[in-house]
Order: sequence, then structure tokens, then C-alpha cells
Amino acid sequence: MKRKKHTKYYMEKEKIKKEDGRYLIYYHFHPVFKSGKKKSFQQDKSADPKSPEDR
Amino acid sequence: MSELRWNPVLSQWVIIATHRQDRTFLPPKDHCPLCPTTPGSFPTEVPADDYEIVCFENRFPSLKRNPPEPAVKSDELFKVKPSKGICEVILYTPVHEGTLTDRSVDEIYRLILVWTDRFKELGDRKEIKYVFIFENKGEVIGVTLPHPHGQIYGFPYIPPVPKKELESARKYYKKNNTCLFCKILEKERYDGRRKIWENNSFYAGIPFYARYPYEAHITSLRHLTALTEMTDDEHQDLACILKALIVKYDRLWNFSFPYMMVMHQRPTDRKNYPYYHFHIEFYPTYRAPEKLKYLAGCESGAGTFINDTLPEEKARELRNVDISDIERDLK
Repeated sequence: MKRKKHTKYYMEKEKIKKEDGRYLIYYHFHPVFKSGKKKSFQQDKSADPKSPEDR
Repeated sequence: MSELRWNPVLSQWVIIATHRQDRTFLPPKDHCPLCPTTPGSFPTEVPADDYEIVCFENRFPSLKRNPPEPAVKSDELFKVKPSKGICEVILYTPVHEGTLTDRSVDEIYRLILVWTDRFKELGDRKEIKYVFIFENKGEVIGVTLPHPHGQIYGFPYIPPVPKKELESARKYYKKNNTCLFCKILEKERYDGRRKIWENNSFYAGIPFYARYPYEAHITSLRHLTALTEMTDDEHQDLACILKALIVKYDRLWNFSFPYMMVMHQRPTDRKNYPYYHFHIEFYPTYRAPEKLKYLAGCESGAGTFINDTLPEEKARELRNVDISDIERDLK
């Protein structure tokens, strides 16, 4: 079966700690262009992708 | 109260989690805890006004990262231990309505990337011996929140069903020097009567020994044991075959088909399982448009399933469900 071209993604995680101590992870997806260049999460948002635990 | 109690008769752990009785039960749409938090409204589980895919620790977990000490004392016969582990919820979409079936192949592909990441991250924790990814769909299954989501349990032991499969696969490998699942796949593909769908990397069909009328298994054509061993093309193909199967389910009787979807992968206890084989199993609860398949006396008490239907016929029904309008997206 001939395979159709699909979009490839660069996945980034933004982990936060909730008030009750549980963690929550936002997954962000950025299409990887033909050149292999990726658009990073930091370029999209000014938020710190590190979890409060990591800081 | 939250603890693991050992059943010495069946040789298996039971999770006691009394706090789960208080979990949110079928809330109205405007009080869905899995929707994004909108300005001025109550805070949901997700403190953002939008998201793509989100994963968080279950508010009512069966297994906890920091469990309390058991409330009762353990002894030789009645063993008890802390319910250590992890329970996560994966939100497929910020959109409240719909199901996984309504997500595009591309969205399902991204979900697979998240599943892969969770398998790796949880599996790397030394206390987690088995990462179990699953979805319960539909109220008849017992779903308490209709917002599209799945779950992941990080077990501190290998649960009984995967353990039984591992044992059968190990014995078969030892005797025949080949993978049990590869052999089953070869036989199913040669026969063809129970096939539902197939692509470059996966086969979907009703097994010869199906327990539920519309039970379907998706098996990788290549011998691999976990999501983390797949190529990007295989992740794409998995998204395509998942979409094909669940769309066929929903179109069979033109209603949202309830099911349990469970992913069987190798354990994460640092041991080698070269004889195991990645697959996903679906257990739909309906046997006819208005009839449910119950796990009654024989199934629950004797552990023997009675299937009132012929797998070959049920597979033909699903194979004949027309999805030609979306086939372009499934290649």
C-alpha cells in the first residue's frame, strides 16, 4: 500500500504542579518542516516549559 | 482508605480505594472538570483556556505516588501493602462533545506520540513494573465523565491478564523458538475470514477465540513489544488502523459504540521479554443493537466466556461497513 505523506511533529512538554501537588503536562505539537527546522515552544509562548519542581 | 490486598486464593492483588466512591459522576456539560477553564467560570482540572493534549494525575487515583500506610496489618495469609503506583488521565481534545472516533487521523497520531512518551516516562520509574494504557468508552462501560479521555495506570506489579499472556508467550517461544503472536497473526492473515482491516504495519481482526461478539485485536505486523520500538511510519499506520476500526464500530449500527480499549505491551520491570508482541484489544459490550453482553455467572465465576456469535460472521459484518469516504485519510 502506497503511503500518503503525513505531517511530522516536534512534541514539547510543559509540566506544571497543581495546587494540590498533582502534576499536569501540556503537550504542544509543532510541524517539522521539510528542511527539518522546528518551531520551538519558546518561540510560540513566553511561558517557562520547566515544571515548578525543575526550576 | 487506599491499599493493596492480596487474594491468596486467586493469587492476585485487589486495589482497595474507598475515596473513589466520591468521584465526579456524570456532571452537566457546563461543569465538566475536563474542559479548559474559561474566564469567570469554575476552575477545571486544566487551568488554561485551551489545550491540545493534556495528561494529569487522577484526582481519585486507584494507585498513588505517595500512598498512605495500609490501614490494616499485613500477615502471612492476608498480605497488605501500600497502593503505590500512578494513575493518569489523558485528555484527547479540549472539545467536550464527541469521542475518539471524531478525532482526525492526525490527532490520533499525536495522541500515540503522547502514549509513547507516557510509556517511556512512567516505565523509567523503578517502582512501575507495568504501564497500562486504556480507554473506557460509553456509560454502559461505567464512564463517569463523557469528555473524550483515556487513562494510564502505572502498576507496581504485572497485572494478571498481561502476566498470563506473557507466560503463554514464553512457553510457546521456549517450545517452538518463535513468537506466539507472530504465529497467530500468520494464521489469521492466511485464513482471512476474521480480518477487519490491514495496512502496511498493522492487522485488525476478530480473533479465532473471541470472547466478546465484536472483540477486535490490532496487532503489529513487525515483531515488536512496545510503542517505543515503533518507527514514525508505524505510529502513523497505528493511527490509521485505530481510526478505521472505531469508525467501523460506530457505523455498524449508527450509534457511538461503547468499548474497553486496552493496550498490551511488554512490562517495564527491566527484564527482557523478546517473546512478547505489541497489540491493542477492544472489548465492545454490545452483542446486538439493543442487547448487551454481560459478564455473568459463567464468565465471572468460572472464568469461561460464552460467545453467542461466530467470530467469522462478526468480522465480515465489520469488514463490510463502508468507510470508503475516509479511506483517503487512512493511507
